[in-house]
Amino acid sequence: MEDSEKPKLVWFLIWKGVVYVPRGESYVAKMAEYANANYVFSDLNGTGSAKVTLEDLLLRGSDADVAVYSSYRVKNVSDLLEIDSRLSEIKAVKTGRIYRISEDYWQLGLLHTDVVVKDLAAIYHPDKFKDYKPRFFVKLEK
Amino acid sequence: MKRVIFFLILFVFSLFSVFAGIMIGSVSVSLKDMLNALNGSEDIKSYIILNVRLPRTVAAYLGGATLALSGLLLQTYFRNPLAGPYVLGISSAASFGVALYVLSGIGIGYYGLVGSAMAGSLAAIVLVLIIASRVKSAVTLLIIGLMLGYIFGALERILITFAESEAVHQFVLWTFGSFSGVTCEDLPIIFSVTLLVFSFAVFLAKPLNALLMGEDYAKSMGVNVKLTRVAIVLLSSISAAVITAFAGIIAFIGLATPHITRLIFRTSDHRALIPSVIVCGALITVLCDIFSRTIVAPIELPISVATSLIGAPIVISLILRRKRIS
Repeated sequence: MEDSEKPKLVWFLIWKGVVYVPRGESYVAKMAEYANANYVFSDLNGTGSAKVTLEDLLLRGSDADVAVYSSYRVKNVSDLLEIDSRLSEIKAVKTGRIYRISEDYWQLGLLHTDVVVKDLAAIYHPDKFKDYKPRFFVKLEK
Repeated sequence: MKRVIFFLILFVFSLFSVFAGIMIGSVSVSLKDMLNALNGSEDIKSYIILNVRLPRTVAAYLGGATLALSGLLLQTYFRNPLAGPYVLGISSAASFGVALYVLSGIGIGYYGLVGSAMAGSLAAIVLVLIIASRVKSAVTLLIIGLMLGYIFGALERILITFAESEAVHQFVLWTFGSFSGVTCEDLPIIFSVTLLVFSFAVFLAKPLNALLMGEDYAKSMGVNVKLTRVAIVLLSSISAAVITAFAGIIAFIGLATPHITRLIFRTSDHRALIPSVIVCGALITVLCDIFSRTIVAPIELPISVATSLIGAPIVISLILRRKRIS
């Protein structure tokens, strides 16, 4: 697959303006690679997560095609904008391609990484996975 | 006169620091970009300048100034160099409010956080004020304030024990202070509270000077000790409450800035100290905010790391230098 066809992915959690993102060698970044997506913070060395500035999230995320919010406490887009209204600048939030993790992601998702990767592939490339419903990710409603 | 010039220099520096705060960051900004942003350009750079950097830098400026003033008032009143804005339990009460909101699953919105922190602090302020208007001495009030802090801390831990782990995670993140969550809409509120506190503080300069010699001396000088006490407690707590609600707990500024200012200006006259502490607090906090978000960019350090790492050596070196001279 051509690099230009890979969707840009931003995966984050935000709390009072402080943004948490997985690092470049984390399982999230690896799964983005398996599912053919460009993770915007892949240059952050190390595993685990990092606290980054909001301006970096907006800068790198402003043209992200897909966004994943790594919490299940957000139910729809307006919940997300209540946490920080400035997230509306992210392309994926504008176009509605924003997902949250499911309630059982931390329990079952990590056991079934194959399903998670397939879910992600379906999210990143919806045209190749018509009729497939992701098991561990939920699209945020408008 | 020398002091006035020095004060003006610091003031100009502090304004420059705000300018620097808006210019410096992950996205490099030129003067032209800034003018573009002010002219209503709609690219992401302009958006970041106006909606991310501007509010956080201005909030750091006002917040640092207010916390420093709050620390000065309480240090003088309690005649204790270790007193700071959080000594009366305001921060613990604010965290308790946030804990109730986040851990009970009511919500996670930004204004819910600000509101719940504010509600917690107000409860503590009312309690402390009732106590302040009844007790006889500053020491009693100080101890009761510390005890209130422990009680709110304990209640918060009970909530943590019974809460869901993801909620606990989010709550813990709240306790690391940062000005990053502040938006342009919040600035008018922060600005008006700050202005109000500053203007009332001016009237406290004379009674504070008398209080340096203790409450009994102040009383003999004709100071209404009870009224002054209530005013000090009210102003310092409201300052701490508002800044904590918007930015979380910011360590060190309130405790160290009064020391730094006293050492630089070599005075204990509050007519000079109050404006100087305000400007020093603002300058130090803005510099720390810039430091914490640029030194390992794109990663952001908690601002308390910067305030402590930069502030503590300054205090140590100033104290040692003063010893050598005298």
